[in-house]
Amino acid sequence: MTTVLVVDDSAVDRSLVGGLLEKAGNLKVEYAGNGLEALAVIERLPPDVVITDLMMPEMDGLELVAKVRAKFPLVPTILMTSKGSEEIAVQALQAGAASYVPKRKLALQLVDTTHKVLSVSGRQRSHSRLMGCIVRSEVTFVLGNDYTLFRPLVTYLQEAATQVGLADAAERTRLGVALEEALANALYHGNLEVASNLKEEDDAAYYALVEERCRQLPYCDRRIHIEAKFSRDEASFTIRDEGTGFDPSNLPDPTDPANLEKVSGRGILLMRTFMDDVAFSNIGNTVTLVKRCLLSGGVRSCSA
Amino acid sequence: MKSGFTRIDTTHEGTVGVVQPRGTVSSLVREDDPPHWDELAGQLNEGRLRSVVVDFGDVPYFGARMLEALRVLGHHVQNVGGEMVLCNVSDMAREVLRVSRFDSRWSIYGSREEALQRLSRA
Repeated sequence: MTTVLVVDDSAVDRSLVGGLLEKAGNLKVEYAGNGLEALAVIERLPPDVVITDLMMPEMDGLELVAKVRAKFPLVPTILMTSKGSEEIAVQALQAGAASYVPKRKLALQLVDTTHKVLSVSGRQRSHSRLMGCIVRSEVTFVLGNDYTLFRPLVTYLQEAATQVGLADAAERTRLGVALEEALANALYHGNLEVASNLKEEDDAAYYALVEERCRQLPYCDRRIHIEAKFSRDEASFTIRDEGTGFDPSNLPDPTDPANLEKVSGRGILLMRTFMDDVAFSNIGNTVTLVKRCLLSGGVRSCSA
Repeated sequence: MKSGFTRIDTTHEGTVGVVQPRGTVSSLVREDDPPHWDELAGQLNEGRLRSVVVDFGDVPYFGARMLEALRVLGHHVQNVGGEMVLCNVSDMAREVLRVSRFDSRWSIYGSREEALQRLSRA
């Protein structure tokens, strides 16, 4: 049976809301008097949806929405707003609430809104459980020099790594930074062949050349090939550009005090720091990044 | 010079410029963005600003492009004998600064208020 947690410091309002929901059928209602109590209930056994009042002692509805979003991302929240708090409703949506219902319209809108939110979240939960069953996957992308696709690509690859259990929140971010740097190198220094040292000499000229080459043959027709493989033990990302390549051993160590003022090398430094392995092909136009998950004493943990 | 980022808010508190990048400052951001550093550099050179606080409160993390932008901005400030400090740096951003050895170049404060207080004493 679907479980709804109603959070309100007013016993009368809790009863009203609970009554509306139970009358709709197939909903089991639990109650909490404020945000802190609600979190304790959710910790014990997460409900399918949380419906919360805004103004409550100990922890208000806005803070509860944010905490539930952070700790229990698959549990949606619905905020009940009083007259004049529409601005708060916007804040709640921005904090992660799935929807809101004005208190003066509970009888008209609460059940319908709850069912809609449950429908969407139910699909998301099923999808998440299904994705957790992936043991191996492989995907290949071929992109043009289209900036607008790179961020969604990184997000996709981060998500795929998370789904096979390779990345928690922190590792996911590190992975994202490393992939962004690899893609940026493939684009600017690989396909467009714009060297970092130009930035040192003339910053404006560097950016002007990037824009020019995006429109110029052969640079504009070049592609970036991304092959990603995921398993429970590791993820590997091979990124190949169609430029002429370079010698990564010629890059200065950016952490050497003598090189702190140089423009180049930091992207690769971040790649090497946040991935377990980084290897370049002989001509330098292909890089393979590997992130491993270590199994130690039967407990999985991801390497930093 | 161009910073290359789409959203950087700049204000000032007296002679201290406050720079606040917004959002995820990715190394994949488009290049054709307004030259925010030009204006700031001009104000530094003219003496209207003396120091800079970079507030990362709205930035969950960043990469090499931001490091480069910081390096250049730091130069502009240094050239006029001023000081640049950072504040509200997330754990991930702090890790990036540490890895690149930039964490020792500029002081990092927990809040903008702390940073401004420090610069006002300088």
